[in-house]
This record gives sequence, structure tokens and C-alpha cells, in this order.
Amino acid sequence: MEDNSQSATSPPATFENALSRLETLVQQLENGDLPLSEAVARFQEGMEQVRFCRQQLEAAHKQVNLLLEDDNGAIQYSNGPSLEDTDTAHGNG
Amino acid sequence: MPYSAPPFAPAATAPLSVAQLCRLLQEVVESNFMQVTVEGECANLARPASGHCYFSLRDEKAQIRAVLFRRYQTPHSLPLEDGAQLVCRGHLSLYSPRGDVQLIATSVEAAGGTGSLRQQWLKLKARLEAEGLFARDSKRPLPRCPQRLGLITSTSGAALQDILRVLRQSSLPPEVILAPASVQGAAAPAELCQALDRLEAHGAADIILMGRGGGSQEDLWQFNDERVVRRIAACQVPVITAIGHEIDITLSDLAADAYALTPTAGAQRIVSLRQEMQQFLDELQRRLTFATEQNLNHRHQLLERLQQRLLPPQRYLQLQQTTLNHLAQRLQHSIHTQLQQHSRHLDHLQQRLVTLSPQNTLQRGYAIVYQHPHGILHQATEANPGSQLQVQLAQGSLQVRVESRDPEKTLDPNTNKQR
Repeated sequence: MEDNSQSATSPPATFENALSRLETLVQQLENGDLPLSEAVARFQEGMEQVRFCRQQLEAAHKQVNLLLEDDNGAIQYSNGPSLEDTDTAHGNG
Repeated sequence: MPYSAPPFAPAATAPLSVAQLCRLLQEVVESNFMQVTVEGECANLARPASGHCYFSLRDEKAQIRAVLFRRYQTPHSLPLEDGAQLVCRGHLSLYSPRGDVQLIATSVEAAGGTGSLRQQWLKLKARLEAEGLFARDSKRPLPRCPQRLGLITSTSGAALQDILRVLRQSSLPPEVILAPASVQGAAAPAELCQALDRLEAHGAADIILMGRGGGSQEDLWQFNDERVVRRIAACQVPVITAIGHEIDITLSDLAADAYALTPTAGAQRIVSLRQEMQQFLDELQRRLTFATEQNLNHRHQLLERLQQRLLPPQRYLQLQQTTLNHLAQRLQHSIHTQLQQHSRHLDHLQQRLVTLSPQNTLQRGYAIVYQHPHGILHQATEANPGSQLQVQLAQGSLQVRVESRDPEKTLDPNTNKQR
């Protein structure tokens, strides 16, 4: 997961956090009693959260990662079958 | 027994080879005993390195050879020991090298009811259920948008290909972390648990899909293993199981946070969660924009209304001028009215004054007599003889001198003579 340019006080930029922040912003705007400058600021922040969520959601993952254990029981992470739309990736089963 | 002379049995003239005889026997046996269930005691059990189990089934009067090949073995084949009373299901065949008829078992259960798979399953289910392992309120909620899918299945199974196909066809596949594990055979339960351990320790997966394709009841049995069921229930990450075909429900399914009927359906569930999230994001973005537009529109309208009320200076002066004119008119009108009122009042007073004026009386013939400086005379005694008096008549006045006075006498107005 890549970290986004969030200020130090913000919670870590996870999809769930961004989504929940976005929902709050939308509700605040829909209540409609914000001063103009705050409404515009919230809109801009909201659009940033939308962009972040979409980025996270639509990131292409073309590779399956393999999580294996070596002889010492340590977890190893390696590339598995491709998710490219070639339909040639087949196991032996 | 629907046995008649084999069609290939030639006339008695030429002898059959042993192999030919055995071939004929094999056809007869295999086509007539394709599915049998037989109960007997296990004897002469042998487990050679091949992993297959060879034994005899016998009772007081007879015995028959039997084999349980490795691929049909499950932990519940464990009642397989000499002396055990068994119920074996399978088909009959002829083992030509020895001319033995043997039972090719596909399932072996302990006889006597309590040991049957179904009953074991029900017992374990009841026990785990009582512990709350399947309780609805202990289910973890699935993430609203699974980002990293922990996948537990066999790398060689059809399930993996089914799942990858669904993900590949999706426009929004999640990241996939595959933790391979056997999904059948005695090693499966431990490997399934280890794969869950690994995914949990690695920490990235926010949802786990565990599954395999359809198979026999025995194939799926590993997912009824108590270790697997408990491990799934204890897993920190939400688990979706997708095991076998539609009719198979395993205890793992019941312990999981959700279960899909097939691996394909499991993968689709995850893909749809992500697609729903994309729609939800669209919706949020639309609401965000709409609310902001509304907000700005509202202010714009307000501004316009205020602007309309804000007048140019000429117009303002004009308005003041009109007000001023109006006030001036009212002022004039008011003064005029008041003057008229006063004038009328004055006329009235004048009228009354005229009525009361001594002139009228004088016109009727009266006179007013003054004596300087005392003013009007009212009594004869006020004037002495010889004093000067002034007499005011209706027309003109007279200067007279008093000759005499008579305080008592009054003149008769008609005769002018004293009475």
C-alpha cells in the first residue's frame, strides 16, 4: 500500500479511512449550513478522497502473489500466476 | 441373480485359457456388482508402501478380499483395523493374477450406526454449535471493499483456475495473495490451518477466500475437520468459504463469516463487493458535487436578490424627492385646512361680536354718556350740574353740559317727557 500525501494529523491513508472521511464530508455538505469557504474546502477535500479511493480500487493487479513457508517456517513472498487476460495460465490440475 | 451363460462362452469343444475364463468372469462380476454395500469384520489388514489398504471382510461363514485405494482414504477410514466391524461401499472386481473376486471399496465406515460419517458430522456440528462457533453474532463483517484477497486453495486444483478466471474477467480485480494448501487427503486440515496462519501473520489480506471444487463426500470431509473449523472461527480476517458443489455444506462453511456455494461464486462475491463500492463511490461523488452546487446556487440567488434591492444613487434621490414632495403636500394641505378652520372660527366670533356690539343698540336710539375721565355714566348722581359730558349716538357724538339732575326720574321714550 502506498502512502498518500496526508498531513501528519490525518489518520493513515487507507481505503476505509478515506471512504469514511468522504461520507462525513458529503453529509456535512448536504446539511448545507456551512460557511462558503468551508463548503468549498470540504468539496475539495472530498474530491481528493474520491480520487484516492478510486486509485486504490482501480489499481491493476496483474500478478498473483504467493505466500509460502520455507523449511524454517519463515514466510516467503513471491510472484505467482499472472492475472493477465491471456487465459494461458493453468495449473496442472 | 441375472446370470445366464456368457455370450462369449464357446461350445464345450475348445478349452478356454485361464485368462479367457478370468476375463469372462470379470465381465460378469463387474457388470452385476457396480455398487454394493457390505458389512463384515476386517481381517488380514495390510498397508504396503503404496498407501493402499488390503484386507478381508468376513463373517462366520465366508470372506472376501477387499482393497481401499489411497485416494479414497480419509481420517475416517481409521476404523480400518483387524477385528473392526466395517460397512464398506464399492464395486466388485476380479483380480486376475490370483483369480480372486475383490471388493474395491470407495468408502469404509465403522458399522453400527454411531460411526457413520453423517452421524459423526451431526455430533461434531452439535458440539461446535453449542460452543457458539457458528453463532451469527460472532461473524466478522466482510470489508465493504476487499482490497487484498487471501486465497487458500490447491495450486493444482480446478478451484484456483475458476477463481482466477472470475478475477481476470473483472474490471476491478483485488490484489491476490495465494497461500497454497492441499484441499484433500489427510494432510489437508493441517495445511489449511497453516495457510490461515500464514495469511494472518503476513497481515495484508483483508478478506480470505478458502475453497476447493466439488468432489465426493470424503473429498470434502477435510473441511469438516475440527481443527479447520476452529481455525476459521478464530481467524482475525473475515473468511469466505467456497467448497464443492451447491449441495455440500461443511462445518467450515458454518464457521466462516460467509460462504459461497462454489469457488466461482466466492470469487464473484468479492468482485461484486468491489463493483458495488465503485458504484457507491460514483454516488458519493455525485452527491458531493450536487451538494456543493446547491450550496453555491443558493448563495448566488441570495446575492442576486440582495443586488436587486441595492438601488443606484439617482434612484435613491428620486425616491427621497418623491417622499419630500409628498410630505410638502401634506404639510401645505394641513396648513390650509387649519387656516380655513381658524378663518371660519373668526367669522363666527365676528358674527357673535357684531350681535353683541353697542352700535346695534345705538341704532335703536340709545346713547352712551361718558364723563371724562370716569368713563360711562350709569347713574345721574355721577354727574354734577355744569360738568361736561360726551354723548355717543349711532351716528356721531355730542358735547353737552349738565343743567340739572334728577336721580329719581326716568324719561318716557315715546313722549320724551318726564314721567
